[in-house]
Amino acid sequence: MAPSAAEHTATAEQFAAPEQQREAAFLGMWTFLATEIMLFGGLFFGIAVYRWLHPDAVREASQHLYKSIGGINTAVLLASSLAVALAVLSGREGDRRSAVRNLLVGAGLGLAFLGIKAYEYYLDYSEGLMPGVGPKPFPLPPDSELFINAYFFATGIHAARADRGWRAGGPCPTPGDRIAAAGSAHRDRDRRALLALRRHRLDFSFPVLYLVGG
Amino acid sequence: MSTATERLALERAGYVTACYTLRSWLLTTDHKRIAILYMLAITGFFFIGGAAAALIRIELFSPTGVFLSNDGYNKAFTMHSVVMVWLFLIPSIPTTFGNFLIPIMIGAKDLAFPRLNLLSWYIFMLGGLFVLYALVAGGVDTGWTFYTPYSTLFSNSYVAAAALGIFITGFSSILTGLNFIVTIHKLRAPGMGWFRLRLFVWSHYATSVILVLATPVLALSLALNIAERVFGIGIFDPRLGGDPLLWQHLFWFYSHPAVYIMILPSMAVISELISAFAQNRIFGYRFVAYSSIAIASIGFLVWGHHMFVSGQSMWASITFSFLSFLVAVPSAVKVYNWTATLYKGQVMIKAPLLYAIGFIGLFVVGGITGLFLASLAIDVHVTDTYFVIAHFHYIMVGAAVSAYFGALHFWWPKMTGRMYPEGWGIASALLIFLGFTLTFFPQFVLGYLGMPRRYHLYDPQFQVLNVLSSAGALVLAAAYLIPLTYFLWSLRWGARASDNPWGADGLEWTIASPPPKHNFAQTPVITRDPYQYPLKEGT
Repeated sequence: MAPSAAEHTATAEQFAAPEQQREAAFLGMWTFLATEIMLFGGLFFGIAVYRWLHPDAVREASQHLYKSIGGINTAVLLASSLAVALAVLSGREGDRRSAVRNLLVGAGLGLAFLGIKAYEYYLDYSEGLMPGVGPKPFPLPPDSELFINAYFFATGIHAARADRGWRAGGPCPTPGDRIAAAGSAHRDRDRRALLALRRHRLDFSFPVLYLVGG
Repeated sequence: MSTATERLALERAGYVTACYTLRSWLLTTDHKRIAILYMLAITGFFFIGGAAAALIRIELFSPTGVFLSNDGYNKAFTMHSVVMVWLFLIPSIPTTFGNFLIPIMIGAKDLAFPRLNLLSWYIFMLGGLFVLYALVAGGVDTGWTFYTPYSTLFSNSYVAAAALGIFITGFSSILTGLNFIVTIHKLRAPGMGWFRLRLFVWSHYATSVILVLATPVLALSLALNIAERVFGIGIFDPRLGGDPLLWQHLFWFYSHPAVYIMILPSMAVISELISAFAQNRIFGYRFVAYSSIAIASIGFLVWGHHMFVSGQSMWASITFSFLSFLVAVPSAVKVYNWTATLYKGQVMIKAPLLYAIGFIGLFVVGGITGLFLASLAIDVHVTDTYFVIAHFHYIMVGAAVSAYFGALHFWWPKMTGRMYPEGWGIASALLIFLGFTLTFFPQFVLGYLGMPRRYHLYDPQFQVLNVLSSAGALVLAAAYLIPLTYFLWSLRWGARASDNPWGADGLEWTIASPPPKHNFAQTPVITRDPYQYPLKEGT
């Protein structure tokens, strides 16, 4: 479908053509994702060093994590990614209703992810695993504590950023939204593709912590 | 019809006169106005950091101290370094001149993401306010490196607030770098191939890559530091199996490339100044362009040279030493090329050129002493002494701040439409060079003789050199205040600047001073390489 006259006029003034605007937004989003890889990369590097220094402690600690909940949550996250990707496809085909429905499913699954995560944190709390708070003392050998703490730190940051992913485009714009918005005020489908890109990277980093114990 | 005429007039008006309200500045998305917002902010931070430096140098007049307690001295040098590194040097040239000039130099109307650009200024200000809060509420005493375990387990100062402030400003850096990368890739005017870009743009591209790839690592490291301090998660705490040295690795993985974030934009400026005032084509354009990329790439692999005495393996140290020598090669390429550009040029002695020549001299001294420090055996002798202080001030102040002032003088007529008084410009350039040398050269000697950094009480044998250094600092302080005064004066009383007062080549000199809101009435079409001196009429 060729861009309409209205779409042309909606091109931001710094761009010569809608295509240039679209390319810029995609390059911006990929660059933004590269920064995210570097952000989590430092953390995973630290955890890898720790895994190498204290293999037994990490193995024991990771056995205390709820792999089933982590597994379900990974599935929920990937399913929600799929829904968002389908929304992008529907958008490309011009099926607006289906795009909106898929986006809602994606957002709903995202909320489900946060709910399940909260339940898992509650179980961890009851076991005394949370740093500094809880009804019981830390139940594992002391050198496992660091791994558990790193787990809370990493999943906490992940959940916070996943939450921002859900709210993307909402009333409180994040830098990622700004880039997505720059992509295509005039074309919803590009905007969705950009937001979807942003979402997917969160999902693939998620299971690492559960599996590090091997 | 009249509205169309009004709109046309508005289009042609300079970006400053287009609208005068405060709101029009605080909500602007014009890259030129955002550059000015940054300039105001970092000028403020520069003088705050400078005031802390004055405290340090006054204290060091006497071997027994003058007026600061041990604790007060720790806080003074931390305030100086944190403010200068994170709130002045890292944003300095990219956010002001980069923001103002990159779109114009590539023939674009603005950066790719103008609102993101404004957002990054607000993020910067928010982070800056956190840092200032930490400094005013009670100060921080860890030095700018926040070494663990001191910063996480022992310091009783406002470490978390300062670290949070720097964490926040990091996102501003990331967004600026991202904006530059996308702009340089996607918004170049028709005909503007990669090798028709100005070297200013090349260097900023290399800087942006570092900003985007290194800053997130710093952000995460600071988040870990805060989590360690507040919740005791243990990642840097040996009692829980963590390792304090991990902090040094993570910190320097960012902070050594950060040195190149500070110096590459300075090199960008110097290439422009030298070629404009020599009226000569830049010698070895492609070598200079690629050397920026080489510095950005190799710069990621040298962080371990900060850790030669931290107990790292000898083989790691040898590797880092070799790579540190290697990164000096592209820097040397630039110096040779600048010098060769001056050769047989029609050299005009003006203030910007004096800053550029000062830059080259000080950068060479700073760079070569960097090689001393990259040599394993010498580093053991001078680690944590004034030798290191002198070395990095030659790079970060002697070179980077000189380049910033050179850029200010060179592009001031373009940014404001006013000329600064040339005589005062030349005098202050000379005075800055003299004041700088008097301040920092004695510190090489002090360090080599064994005076350690970060102490305010010292052996009386070091007093003469310390007094020389402190006297130099006073000269330097005065020399920095002179340009502040005459730049402000020039805004009202300076002569009107023509479109191209220096007879320089480049798109920014083809448009009005100050530039109109959208830079170009029509998108320029580029048909030739840059730096085609001598300029012909109509080019």
